[in-house]
Amino acid sequence: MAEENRQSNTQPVPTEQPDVSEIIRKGNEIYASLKSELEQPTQNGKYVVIEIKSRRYFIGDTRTDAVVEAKKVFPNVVMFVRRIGGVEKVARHYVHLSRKYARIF
Amino acid sequence: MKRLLGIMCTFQESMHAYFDAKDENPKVVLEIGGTKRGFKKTIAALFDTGHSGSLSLPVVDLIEIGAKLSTISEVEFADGLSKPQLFFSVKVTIDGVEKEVDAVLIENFDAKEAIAGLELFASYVAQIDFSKRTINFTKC
Repeated sequence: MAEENRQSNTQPVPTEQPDVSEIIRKGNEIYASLKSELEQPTQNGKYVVIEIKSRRYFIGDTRTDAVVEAKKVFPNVVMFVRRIGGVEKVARHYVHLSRKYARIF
Repeated sequence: MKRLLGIMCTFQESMHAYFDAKDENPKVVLEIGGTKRGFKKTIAALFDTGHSGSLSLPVVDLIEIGAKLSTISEVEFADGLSKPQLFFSVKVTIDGVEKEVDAVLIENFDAKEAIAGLELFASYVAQIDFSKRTINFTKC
């Protein structure tokens, strides 16, 4: 009886949640370490997808191209994406400034 | 259904785009899907020619289709503030063709309208006639 209770009260192991801040911190860290390799004139404006655990990265002309390539290898992993050369600038997205639109330039 | 335009271009009749009578903005009709098997939602997205990304979706649409978190980016606002942006894997059907894109979450809960950007229509030529209030897509 006591054994049954112990089993029914066992806390399940939850599915690991992606840690957004950690993915961004590590993603930026890996990007900085690869900066000289990535920021070549031919690659400026392209997108890089970084899988933070393996430090593997994938480059594409568009965000979708880069993500599609990365998902072939890491289909179920939440990855970090950055535009090579400069962080994406955003307008009309900030909740306090706009009530309607959200877009990335 | 495709109509030949000149030698190389074909008019995409199956693309449904129009000027919304309510807000006078150009809209494109898209079908979106997520992890819910067989479930598709038809939306009319604002066709934003200044949006270089693919698709921005309100949180209610993402929940409804069961979209899965795909990637995370950091973006910068005009005042220098940085903020994480969550991108979800969404299957978009345009012109009868389904493709998977990373759609950004519109964090404003009041937002009800999706925004379609240029990346989604990269393989098309879009002609917007503001005087006749028509939008046509051709493939060249």
